[in-house]
Amino acid sequence: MTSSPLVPEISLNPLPQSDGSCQYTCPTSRTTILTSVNGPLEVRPKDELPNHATIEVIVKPGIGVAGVRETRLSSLIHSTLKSLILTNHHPRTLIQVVAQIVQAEDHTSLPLLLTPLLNCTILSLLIAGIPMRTVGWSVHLAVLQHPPKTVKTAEGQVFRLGRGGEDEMETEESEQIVVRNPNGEILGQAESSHTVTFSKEGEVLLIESMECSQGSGGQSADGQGWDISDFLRLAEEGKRICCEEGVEIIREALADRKVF
Amino acid sequence: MATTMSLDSPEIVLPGDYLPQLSPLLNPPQTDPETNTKPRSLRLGPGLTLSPSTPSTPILPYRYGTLNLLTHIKRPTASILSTPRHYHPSTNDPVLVTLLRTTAEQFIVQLTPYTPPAIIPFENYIINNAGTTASARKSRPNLPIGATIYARVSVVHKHLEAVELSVPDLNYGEVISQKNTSTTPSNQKNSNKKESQSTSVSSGTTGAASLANRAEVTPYILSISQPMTKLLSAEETLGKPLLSAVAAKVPFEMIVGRNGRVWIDAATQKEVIKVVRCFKEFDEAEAWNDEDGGLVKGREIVGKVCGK
Repeated sequence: MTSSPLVPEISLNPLPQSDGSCQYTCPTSRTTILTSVNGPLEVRPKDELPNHATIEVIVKPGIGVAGVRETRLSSLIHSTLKSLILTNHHPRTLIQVVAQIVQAEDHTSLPLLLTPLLNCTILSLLIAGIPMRTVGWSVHLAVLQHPPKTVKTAEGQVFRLGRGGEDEMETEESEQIVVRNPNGEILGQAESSHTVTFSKEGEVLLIESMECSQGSGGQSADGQGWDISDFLRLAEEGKRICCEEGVEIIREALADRKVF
Repeated sequence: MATTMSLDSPEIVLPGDYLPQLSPLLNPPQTDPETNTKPRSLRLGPGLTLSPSTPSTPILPYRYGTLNLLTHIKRPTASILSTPRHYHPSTNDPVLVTLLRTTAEQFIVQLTPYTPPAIIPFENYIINNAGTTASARKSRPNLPIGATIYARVSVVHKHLEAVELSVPDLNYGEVISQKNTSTTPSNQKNSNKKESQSTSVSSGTTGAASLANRAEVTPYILSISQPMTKLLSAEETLGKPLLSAVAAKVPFEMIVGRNGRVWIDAATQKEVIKVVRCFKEFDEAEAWNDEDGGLVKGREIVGKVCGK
């Protein structure tokens, strides 16, 4: 595997008793997630669906007890997985996903946790042999007004949002900097943060965007703190990262394993 | 496009990958019309499904693994080879199951600890060569709860409540050690099966002499992983390094169930435990994942357990 500074550390099947498990460490923010997937299992009668498998996602926090934040994360993961898993292959069963946050810079930051959680979960699902329509990959992009100060960034982590052939090339808006998988400090300087998840074929699976306190929020036309045309360019870049680099990471991670 | 990447690395197929290898089978060439009289239909094995909604191909791989293509002229078959930890029953799999209870129409058995129990209807239980089933009360084998039955998966349907198993002939049935010299018919049947299953490993030792002292030997049922199951059931190819290494030290008999259970019997209890430990350590070391197929690791473990 190439030891690029942007390739996450992936260890497959660290848990001997689960059907599929994965430990994932984000290369830049060092967020470490451990997920386990079990299924198809017997489902509780009240959750049973006559034609589909029930997907259960449990997110366990690194510190403290699970609360609203974990429920939010698990509902985001759940909605993403729902469009990936072929639930009609195992009706009246349960596919259980448990994600444990092992290490994080900021245990309260949703965007920093979401991308590692999603990527780790998808790898575990593959290992567990859960029927899936396709695979997806998630990337977290932070938009900054200026290059990140006082923070070391890995090569290739920072890029500029290109605005091809427009007149206002020299305006301050074109200075926008995008950082891939930022750590907490960079996110603190960011204007907005976007977690984008795409399938291998380029379908949008999840977009979680948020405006950060440091940015010039509310100035853009849509009132959300960022310009929609900037966002579309950003999403295009995210799609490229997910569909090309992300899928390549999955392939390389799985290629080491022998199948019979 | 992402779909072209599957060509670069043909090893691993991811869910949703386009499979260009299947196209010639789907559309047979029109050049020789005399062979095209009968349309060849491609059979889809595990790991592949038909999905009309997928734009690039109607055949959708839904698990990761390697494409296994049998381009047999009459029956081309494609499947995705993968070894998930979970056992997914598929038709005709030989399995080792434990009897949980008997009802009026069927035996209720445990296939795996993590799934609802499977059933063996009495009409699927053949008890002699004439094809008599266990439906009649008199002919029904009186199996104790906890008995091990070697059966075959006959019906798997996702909408059915339970997996249906069958005991199609005398090679299947209750598994008991040869030490039980009672007059149950299953004893005789059992010896047949063992010959068919494990001739390559028993190295011709289990003669009548060794049987005499077998009163205190209890066979062992070992739970193993799915890759290990595949390895042991392919005794001539994948499993050869390990099995021949073990058999050279200890003659033994085994019955492999696809559901991750192996029944192991040998001449003495000590030897049973030795074989079990060899298999267990090989499995726990995940030696099947080694480059050489576990050849070195297998020898090392056998040397450690059974002595040099």
